[in-house]
Amino acid sequence: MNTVFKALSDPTRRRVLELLRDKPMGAGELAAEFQVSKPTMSAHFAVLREADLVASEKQGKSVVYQIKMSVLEDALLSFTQIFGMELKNTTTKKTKAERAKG
Amino acid sequence: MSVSSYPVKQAAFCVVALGAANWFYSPQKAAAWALVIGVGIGILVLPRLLPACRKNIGPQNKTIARAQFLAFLILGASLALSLFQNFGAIDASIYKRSFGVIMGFVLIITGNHLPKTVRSLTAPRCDPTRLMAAELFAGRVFVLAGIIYVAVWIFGPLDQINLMSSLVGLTAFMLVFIRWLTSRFTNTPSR
Repeated sequence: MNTVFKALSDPTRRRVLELLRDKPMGAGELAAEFQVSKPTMSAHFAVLREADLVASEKQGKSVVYQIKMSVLEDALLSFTQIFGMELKNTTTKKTKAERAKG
Repeated sequence: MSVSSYPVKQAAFCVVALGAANWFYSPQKAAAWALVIGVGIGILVLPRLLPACRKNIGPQNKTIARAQFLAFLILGASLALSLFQNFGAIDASIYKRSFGVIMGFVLIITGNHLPKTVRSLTAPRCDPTRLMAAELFAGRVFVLAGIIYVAVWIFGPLDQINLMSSLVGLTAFMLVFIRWLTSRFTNTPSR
């Protein structure tokens, strides 16, 4: 359970889980949602995998992640959102203008 | 939790020991105790014959170890209750209520882990988004039903407890079945 709390303590990882709640996503697709380097994102994915919160599967050249959370873990993630610990969109999601700049 | 952190062998030993103790103290039910011991040994041995388990790596092995441990916990708790009743430590009503509580916890634990069962994204006719939503719904319903089931067996009147708990269980299974049917026939698979 320690690894789960460690994984949920980081806002970027919580945002990754929120995105994966909707549908399975590729590593590149997920990384595009954050203003962090690819090695940092890989480290986040590794923590999530270690906590058994996501499952990864290689499809061709890309790695696709899907959520793997129990009801209790899902409730824990929801609690962090309720208590206002969710990641602010302004700091995580690239704006359209920033993306256009490349 | 790693595979080795589930004390499966120790739990199996406890089940066999409790089964043997029950056999010794109430030999008139020898066939039942022999069956329970056989089931316990089967739970320990049979998964070892599966190829995925023999590799000793991968998430499937961990799932099997967890399932084995849970099965031994249920068997062990049931056998311990029988033993306590043999000694007169608990009366018939507590014995009956305790079994209901154990079944409720089984429902809670099973429901909690249900959304964690991940299938391959490349599996034929598998729409992961729809499957994930259905499994999460089923998990939540089973956990909630399990909590209510436990509460019914602890606080419910003994003369109506069977009816009340059956209604809780049936309602949960019907809800999950209806959700599964609607998700299967109302949406078009993405692949």
